[in-house]
Amino acid sequence: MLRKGEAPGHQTPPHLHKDDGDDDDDAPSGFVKLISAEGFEFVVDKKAAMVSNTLRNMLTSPGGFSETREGEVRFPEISTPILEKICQYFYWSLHYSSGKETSEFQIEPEITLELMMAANYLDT
Amino acid sequence: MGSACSRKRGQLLVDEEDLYSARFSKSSSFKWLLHTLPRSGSDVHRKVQGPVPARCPSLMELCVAKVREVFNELVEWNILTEELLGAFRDCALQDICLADYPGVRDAWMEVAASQGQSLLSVDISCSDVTDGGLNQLKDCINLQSLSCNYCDQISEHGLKTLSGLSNVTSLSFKKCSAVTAEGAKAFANMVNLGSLDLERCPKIHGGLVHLKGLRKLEKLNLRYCNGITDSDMKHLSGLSKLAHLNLEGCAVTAACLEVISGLVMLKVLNLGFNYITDACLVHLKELINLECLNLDSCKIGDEGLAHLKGLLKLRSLELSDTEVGSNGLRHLSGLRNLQSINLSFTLVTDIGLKKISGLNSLRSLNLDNRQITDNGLAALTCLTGLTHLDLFGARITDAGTNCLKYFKNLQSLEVCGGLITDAGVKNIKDLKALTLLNLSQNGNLTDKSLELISGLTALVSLNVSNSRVSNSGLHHLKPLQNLRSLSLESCKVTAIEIKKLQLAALPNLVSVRPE
Amino acid sequence: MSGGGPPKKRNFKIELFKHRVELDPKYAERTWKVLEHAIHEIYNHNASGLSFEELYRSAYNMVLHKYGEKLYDGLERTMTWRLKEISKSIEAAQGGLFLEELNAKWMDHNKALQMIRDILMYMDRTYVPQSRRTPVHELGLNLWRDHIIHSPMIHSRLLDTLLDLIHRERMGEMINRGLMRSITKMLMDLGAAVYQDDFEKPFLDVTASFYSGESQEFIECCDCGNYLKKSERRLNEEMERVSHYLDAGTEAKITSVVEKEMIANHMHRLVHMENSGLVNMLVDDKYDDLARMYNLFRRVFDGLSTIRDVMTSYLRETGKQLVTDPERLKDPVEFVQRLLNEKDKHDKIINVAFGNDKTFQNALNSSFEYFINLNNRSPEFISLYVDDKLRKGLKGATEEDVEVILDKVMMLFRYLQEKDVFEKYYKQHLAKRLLSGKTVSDDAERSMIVKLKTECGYQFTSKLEGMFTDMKTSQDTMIDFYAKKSEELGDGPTLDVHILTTGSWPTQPCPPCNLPTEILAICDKFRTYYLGTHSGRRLTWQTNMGTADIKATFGKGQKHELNVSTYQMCVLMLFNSTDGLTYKDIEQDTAIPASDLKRCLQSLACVKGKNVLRKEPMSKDISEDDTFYFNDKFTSKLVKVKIGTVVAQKESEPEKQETRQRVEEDRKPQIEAAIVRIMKSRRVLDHNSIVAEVTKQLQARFMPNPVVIKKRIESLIEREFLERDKADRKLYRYLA
Repeated sequence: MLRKGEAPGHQTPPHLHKDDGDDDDDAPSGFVKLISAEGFEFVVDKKAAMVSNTLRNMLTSPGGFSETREGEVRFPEISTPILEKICQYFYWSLHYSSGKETSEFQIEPEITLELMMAANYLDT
Repeated sequence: MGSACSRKRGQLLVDEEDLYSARFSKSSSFKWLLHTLPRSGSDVHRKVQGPVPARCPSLMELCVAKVREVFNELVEWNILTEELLGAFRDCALQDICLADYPGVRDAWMEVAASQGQSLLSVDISCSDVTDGGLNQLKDCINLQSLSCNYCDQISEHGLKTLSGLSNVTSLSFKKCSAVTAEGAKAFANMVNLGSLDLERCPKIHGGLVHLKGLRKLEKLNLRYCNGITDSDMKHLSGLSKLAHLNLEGCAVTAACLEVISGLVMLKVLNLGFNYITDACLVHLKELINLECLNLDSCKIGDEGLAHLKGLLKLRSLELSDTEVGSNGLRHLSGLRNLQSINLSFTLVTDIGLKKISGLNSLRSLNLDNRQITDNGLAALTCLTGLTHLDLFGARITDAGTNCLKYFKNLQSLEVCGGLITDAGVKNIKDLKALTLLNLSQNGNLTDKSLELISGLTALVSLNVSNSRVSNSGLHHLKPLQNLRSLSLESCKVTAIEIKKLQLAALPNLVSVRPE
Repeated sequence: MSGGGPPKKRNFKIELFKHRVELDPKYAERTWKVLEHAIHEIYNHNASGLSFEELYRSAYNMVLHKYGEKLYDGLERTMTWRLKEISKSIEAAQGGLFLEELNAKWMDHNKALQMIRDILMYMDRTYVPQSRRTPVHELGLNLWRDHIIHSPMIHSRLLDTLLDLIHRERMGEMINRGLMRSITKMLMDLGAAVYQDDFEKPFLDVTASFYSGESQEFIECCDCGNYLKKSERRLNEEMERVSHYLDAGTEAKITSVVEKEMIANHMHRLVHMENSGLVNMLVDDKYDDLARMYNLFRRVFDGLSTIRDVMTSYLRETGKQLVTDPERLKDPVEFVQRLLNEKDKHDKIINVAFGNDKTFQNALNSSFEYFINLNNRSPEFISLYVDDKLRKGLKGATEEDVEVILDKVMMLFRYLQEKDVFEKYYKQHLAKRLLSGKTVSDDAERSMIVKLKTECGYQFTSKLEGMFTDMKTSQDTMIDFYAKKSEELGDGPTLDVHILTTGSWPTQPCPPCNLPTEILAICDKFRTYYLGTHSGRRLTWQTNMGTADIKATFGKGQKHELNVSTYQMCVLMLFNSTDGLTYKDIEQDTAIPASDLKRCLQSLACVKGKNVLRKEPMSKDISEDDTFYFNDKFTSKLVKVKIGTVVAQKESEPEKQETRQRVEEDRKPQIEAAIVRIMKSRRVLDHNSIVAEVTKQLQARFMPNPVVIKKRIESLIEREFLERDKADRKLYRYLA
């Protein structure tokens, strides 16, 4: 569903192989870029990101915060594997809510506690 | 290992029910974790009440479930340490089952208590937890189940600190000296208690008075509470919902039966090993809901059984080691629901068995008794529903084994009177449902018998000790792939050969004699 | 674990939470500064440089590290400071700009509040419920309320401005409704209590005094209709105002104020207003005004009962005049028609203006019942009205028309207390119609009987139906008679006999007159025939009730067919053998009772165009000294001349008395039957209870007179059906 940047500070964020994958610099309103503590970038559908109540508020709050304008959010306290897991959850959740048959969401025991912290932060 | 309680509370793995349980939604203690639920709590509640289209579980919920799973695995595999436990502080755990777990002490209880209102069940049986550790649970007000069996560091003071846990429905303090006249005061506030286990509590005398108001109590275990007297018992008279009562080995007498006679909801009553006489049994007449009655080793005989005539719901009756004889059995012939009856070591003879031959609900029958012979067995051939038949000491001969052919459903059979030869085993070889077979003490059995029973592939346990079976007959057992226990003591069999057989053909075999 | 194979050991790497590390002691203060700065920037419309994530994370970490209280208090302090600044700028706004400035700042605050709430979401979610503090949004509203709306410089100014604008709108000015709506919505957003205390209550007070004054002004100068129109318009205006810019909850309150001031306070004056009040509206059929009055009055307590009471007393008064006016009594048909018209008129009013209100229909019915029974001739007149309609009035009318008229009559009939009197008259009138063959429609007659039957039961109509049966049987009998006896009869006069069962018909014993010999012969033949087929019966001729068709030839040979009564026929037949006869001769020859004879001679000799006899001396009345001659100068354009048909008319006073007496006689057995029925089941009963029970049982037919009931009881005691209790004379006992 989504690919991960290869190195911190990667200049051109990869895009999803969804739809036509529009221009990167000026991401279409349909996407938002999530950046991990290490600088890895995840481009996800806005709709998916809004599974998180925190992100939903962030992206819909009036008054033009920088995230809304730039279409990207940095998470200095979320590591790459955790953010990746979270993005996976967003899509899993969408799939689940669409009423389709959905397999269980796997959580590796090793990351459970850290993921729980992030889930709490993102209110998801 | 500490999983007994886990099983009781249901699965701890990720499981829809657990995930959405109302209990979970109650978790609202003080730490960061506890506000992870959807903003509208009612949403979750609705989920619980009816089958509405499934709301997607939040990642938080998934994590919490996973954390619970991880915790239980750590316990299961015995790798939870005090240090690791610290990571589970404030994790909304619901079940902490550490029965028999090594090293559990007061420091562990602090983490347990940090689960706050999420915590639903705790089992710290056999631990070194003291009053100070137990005291920490007092704020876990949603606690439903608590087991502190064999906790000898807990005193009546510790027990009393739990009196605020009014949501507890199940409490177990086996062999705990904390249960005293003073400590038992804690029970008085636990008005939701449904099950209370105080087995072997030595200092319980004077404590039962605090159970008076527990209107919801359904199960009470006072087994071998030696200190209990008839005067203690009178406090139970108001427990109108009581359905299970175990008084085995308590020093109670006829006087206590008067109290019991008013507990008409009783279904299970254990009075074994008490000083109960025929005259006492008159008090059981009104207990028409009784399904299981245990009178093991009581001082009763034929006359007493007359009082049981009207207990038409009885399914199980234990009369072992009593003075019941053939005459008394006529009082039981109307108990059409009896499924199990134990007449071992009684005075019952062949003649008596005719009187129970019409009880065609019987599944289990114990006639371990030297007076029983082939004639007695012949009277029972219409009991074709039998699944368990114990004729251990009965004097059954090869001729008598012909009757066994009628019991097609037998799963367990013991015939150890010493009179059976290989010819008699022929009559057993077609009882394909057998999982347990005991033919020990029949000194004339040879390898031929092993050959004969090689078709009983459902067997899990086999005993042919004290016979002439030899190493050369062992190969006949190879088809018994389900066998887990094999006993061939005092035979011409060597441990080495059995070991070979086990390795070569019987991988499930775990218990072997001789070793 | 459960199920699976033997457990595989796994290595867990579980780290302790990062957040348990000790923090820089200045961490909290530093973080708060960041957030405080952000809050100011948000109020300065300068948020575009801020990172939501950073702010959210700052707040999140503060709460996680137990600085929730510091964060919350800081927010409250900062927001309070901002709102005090805002309040100054609103206070400074001049005149009409005041509301606009307030509204603009309110919008700003709302937006800022939403942004602040978003970045402090985590605090709202965890810290706030735990420490039972007010959520951020609500806090923002409360602060706005306390520092803006309740600021001494704004509070009363705001109220005055709002009330002034509403007053101006009431006086016809246009105001900015959108702005008004924003402001009232703001007050509601701040909580229903703010809206109510700071606006709604004073608004209602001002409204009350406004309409108190205006209604006083209107009532002095407007007629009732106009006043109601104005009230209605005001009421609609106020409701419309609510829908445009007030809270929906205000509607019930404001309408109740207007209703009280405009309607309830002036209700009685309006209803009784001279020349334009309710009675005038009723008289002039002012449907619109009446409907308006109904719809406005129903809104207030006792409003409808006020209308109803006035209407009822008006109906009773006019009804009473109608039924007691001696002029009206002269023409029974006209009398009844007027009643029907009155009923139609008011039915229509209730239907059109009063929404078919059941209570009004009941009032109308009870009024009619009241005054119709004031005149004890009503039963007779109603029967006469039916007679008129069934005799001739219905010619050319369709079946539906007939039904409509009969239904209306039935409605009046229902009001009658003395239904048995009606029955008596109806029987008489029906008999005359049947016997004279003047019934226009058999179907209509039967329809009326069915209606009466439905209303009063089988007993009531069984005799009436008997009359119809007699008519049919007679017809068959006559066909048979002529079929069997035609040779014997030859060319003599044709006889048509109606055989009336005694008891079914309103006949009085009346000695037969002397029939002419020609007639007598055939009559005897018929008698022989009839008694031959019906042995054991008795026939008596009712010569006072028959009619005859006779052919007469006058002086110049002109021939006419005369349709006359049997009595008249007897008289005329005398003139076949002589030209002149004295009254005495005629009386003697015919043996017709004097009063009947006089009436019959009068119609033969004194009615112009029908005077086949001539009287000497000429005069209007018949005297016993008169002499009568065959009038051979009689002329008429008609070949058939109808003379002196027996038309049902309202009874003369003595006839009325007689009927009355018969009615009373008939009631006696009914009352006795009722008493016996009651006593049979009750065995013992006191006098008053018997009277009550009897009245209850009989009131469907008539209102029994207690004195009569008492007499009937006495009579039953005499005949030993009842006895008085030995101890208590008021108590009666049934004797089986």
